[in-house]
Amino acid sequence: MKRKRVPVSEEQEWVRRSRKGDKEAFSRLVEKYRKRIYNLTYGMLGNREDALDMTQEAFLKAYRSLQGFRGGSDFYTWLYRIAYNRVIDHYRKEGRKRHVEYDDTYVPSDEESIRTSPSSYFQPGRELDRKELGRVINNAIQSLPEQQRAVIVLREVEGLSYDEISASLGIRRGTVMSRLHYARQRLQEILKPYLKEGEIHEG
Amino acid sequence: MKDKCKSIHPILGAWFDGELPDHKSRRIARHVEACPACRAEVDRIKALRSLLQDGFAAAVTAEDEALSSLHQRIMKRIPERETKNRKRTGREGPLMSFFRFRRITLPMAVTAMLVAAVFFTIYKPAPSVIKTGSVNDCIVDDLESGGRTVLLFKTHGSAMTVIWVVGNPDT
Ligand SMILES: [Zn+2]
Repeated sequence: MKRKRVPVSEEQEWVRRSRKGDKEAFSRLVEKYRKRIYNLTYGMLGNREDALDMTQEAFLKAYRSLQGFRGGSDFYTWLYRIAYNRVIDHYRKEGRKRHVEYDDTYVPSDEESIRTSPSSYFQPGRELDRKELGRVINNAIQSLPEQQRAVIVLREVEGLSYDEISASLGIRRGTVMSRLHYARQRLQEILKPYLKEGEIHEG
Repeated sequence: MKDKCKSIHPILGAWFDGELPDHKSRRIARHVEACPACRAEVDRIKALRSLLQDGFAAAVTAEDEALSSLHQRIMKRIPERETKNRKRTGREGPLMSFFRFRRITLPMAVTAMLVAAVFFTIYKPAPSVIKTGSVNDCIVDDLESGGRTVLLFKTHGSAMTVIWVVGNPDT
């Protein structure tokens, strides 16, 4: 997915004015980034209500913290960081009750299997139920360890570079790379029925 | 799986993402071209990406309305600030605006004072800065606390930052 970029100077102007207490300027920033922040929180939490709550809290926190943003990094990576940390706090507060452990037992339900036989995703002319597809993908992402969810969303959905992910989550580039590798391995395993089988020729 | 493939496997994703240095990237490209197993792995990474993108878009597809009402809730919860001096009309605007009340924590103000004291002994204030266009263009920041205002100026033609400490006439 391509990200639309606002010319830096315009965005910087919005940030500058927001810091001076200009609500209208801040509103422009919310409009620009609300979907992206929601995508991150939804990817990390897997449910709509919590994701909307966290998105709201992230923007309110961002507004209160704007004085601390000196423009040394991009505004959106700073914003992502706030949202990410907010969700991490949420994980901690919720404790183990919503923590999804590494789950090797995940199997698509019979219903899913019938309606979406292996490799059906790539068959032209056959539409996979969108709602169903959304649910399958959400479940798959939620079955990842918490640490890996944000990385996979920022890379595969939001299209961020490793450097941008590193800045957004406050983790090293090498960590981005390894988390992404394990997340992809795991997702390929879980989503096998929905992926076209690659032809593997062992030498 | 061959040894070569084993060593490449963990970084194949990074290669696909275009995140490896050129020399490494070229080496892997040559191998992938000649190796069906690694090509299949790249295809799986590619297929996973498009599945994730489509599936995620499907999962959040109905949220545009929810996000726009969320936006309104956010704006309602942001406090109104002093706005009467914000309008920039004539010459008064920018001048008024930099005396506008700014909330700042005490430690930050103290730090700013110390920094100001140090710079004050090193640099001379450059009055010419006022003459260059709008005053606001030159101000990097203004901090106010405890009856004093610290103004950070950027002088034209150099990267030097000059800090002025101004007593507040009200106190
Ligand atoms: Zn190979």
